Amino acid sequence: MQTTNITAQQIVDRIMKNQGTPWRPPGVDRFITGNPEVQVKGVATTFMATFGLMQKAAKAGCNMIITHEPTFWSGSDSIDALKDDTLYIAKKKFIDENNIVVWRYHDNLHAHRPDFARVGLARVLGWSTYPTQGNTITVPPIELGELARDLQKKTGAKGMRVLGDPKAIVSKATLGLGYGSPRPLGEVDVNIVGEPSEVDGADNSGYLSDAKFFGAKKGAIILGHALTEGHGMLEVAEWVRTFVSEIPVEFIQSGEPFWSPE
Amino acid sequence: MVSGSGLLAAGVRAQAGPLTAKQVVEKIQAGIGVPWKSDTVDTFKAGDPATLVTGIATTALATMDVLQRAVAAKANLIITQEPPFYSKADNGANLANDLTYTQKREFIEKNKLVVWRFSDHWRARKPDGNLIGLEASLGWTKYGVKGESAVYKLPGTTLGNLVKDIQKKLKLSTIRVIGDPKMRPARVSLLPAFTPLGDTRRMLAASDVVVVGKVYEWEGVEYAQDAVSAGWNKAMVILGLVASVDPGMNECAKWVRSVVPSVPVTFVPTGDPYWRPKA
Repeated sequence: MQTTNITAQQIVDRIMKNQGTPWRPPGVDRFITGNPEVQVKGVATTFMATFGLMQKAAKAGCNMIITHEPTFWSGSDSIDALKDDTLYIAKKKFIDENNIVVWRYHDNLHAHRPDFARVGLARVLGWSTYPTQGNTITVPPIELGELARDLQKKTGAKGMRVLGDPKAIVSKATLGLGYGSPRPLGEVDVNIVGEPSEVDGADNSGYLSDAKFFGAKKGAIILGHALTEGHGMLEVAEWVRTFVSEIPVEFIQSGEPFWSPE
Repeated sequence: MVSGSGLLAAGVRAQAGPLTAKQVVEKIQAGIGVPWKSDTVDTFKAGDPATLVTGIATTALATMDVLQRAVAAKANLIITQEPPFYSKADNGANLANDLTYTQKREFIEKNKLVVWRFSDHWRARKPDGNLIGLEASLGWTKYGVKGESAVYKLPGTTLGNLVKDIQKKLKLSTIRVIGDPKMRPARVSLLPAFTPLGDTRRMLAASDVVVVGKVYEWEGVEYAQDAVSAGWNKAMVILGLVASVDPGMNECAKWVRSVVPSVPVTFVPTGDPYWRPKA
């Protein structure tokens, strides 16, 4: 029997109190599903409250999920169009049966200083101690192909995609988090990208295809949305633990969604 | 040539000489079968619309590599589905001093090319040329389910083998998959280009595997993941946006030929822009 009573609402109140930057309301950072007054047995922080993640969290005894990305498949988490959707009905049934409450920590996660997602990504890449100016990190000069293999090993990325000449020596890097990244202009020669906009945004494949054609030593390593923003949820768990000590707070990975042949 | 003289013989009013790029576009606008929008990305992006057209190249994305092959094929009007100057506005904002941008502009000027984007209206056209091109490249046209758009009943296979087959036929260096490689799909659907959540949900209900160009990873990707976690026999295969519309521009070349029979039209594939390191 849990001797400590703490509700999901009380945990969120403490997060808002400890945020340290002006809270950004109203937005996507809200209770998405479940009852805020529910007694929390354990907290799971994660990149995205997928069905698979909820199954893992329930097994681990966590009934509050702090998620960076949506639960119900859109930025607004609106369920208006989903009432008759069989997958929505199945996921909601699991949520209700397991007394799960989901709270989203997105805009304020990035607004926090430092940005938790950036800290987590730099840690996993092993880049936390490299010299940083603004958004540019200077890594020891390395061939793009070798760097891609190194990051593949460190992140476990199965769905990695790369643009640029594998033989290009790169050193000035920027970290792109989540969706959309600037293109590597000026002194920047490699972008680490989450989810690219592919053609109509700045991080389209065309620019780097053309840069390669003209012999520019530039590239992009695309890890996927989850692998650029998901790791920082470990830092979020560690931070929440500093002001929620009554119950376990765990980082549970929703993981990379993809596999690739070979 | 044959069809050109055939038209003359049929008494169709002949052009006095070669068509200008602007005249080609006007014929496309007249033939596309959907009202031409005033707010559209389908505009001239480079070159002089009054240029006399020696040949047309259609492509998914007019990269430098594509432009070079188009010039070799003696084409000077490039019809691209995706933006040649790296953004929806395609105006080179913030790129005035960028060597990649300025050298591409110089190449286009030196070779007197005209670049025109054909995206909004090509995608709005019925039937969907991107779909026809993609199903033809995969060899699936004969497997199409009657009365249902974009759904195919393939001979018995596993998801793993289906993915390998798609990768080989479309010559993709990268492809991403959600779902159990051993699952056996009865029905597969094709959704080239970008697909919003509503259509992803609809097609994942109507088929076991959806093959998409691009969906958002916090929308369609999560939905497919959840369908798999729910224990359903579902999967998603992601081709990448450019790769998914590449075969459609072969279909576009065929259609443009029917609109301007007097001009040689070549399809120049863009190819998968991405690569993946060998583990």
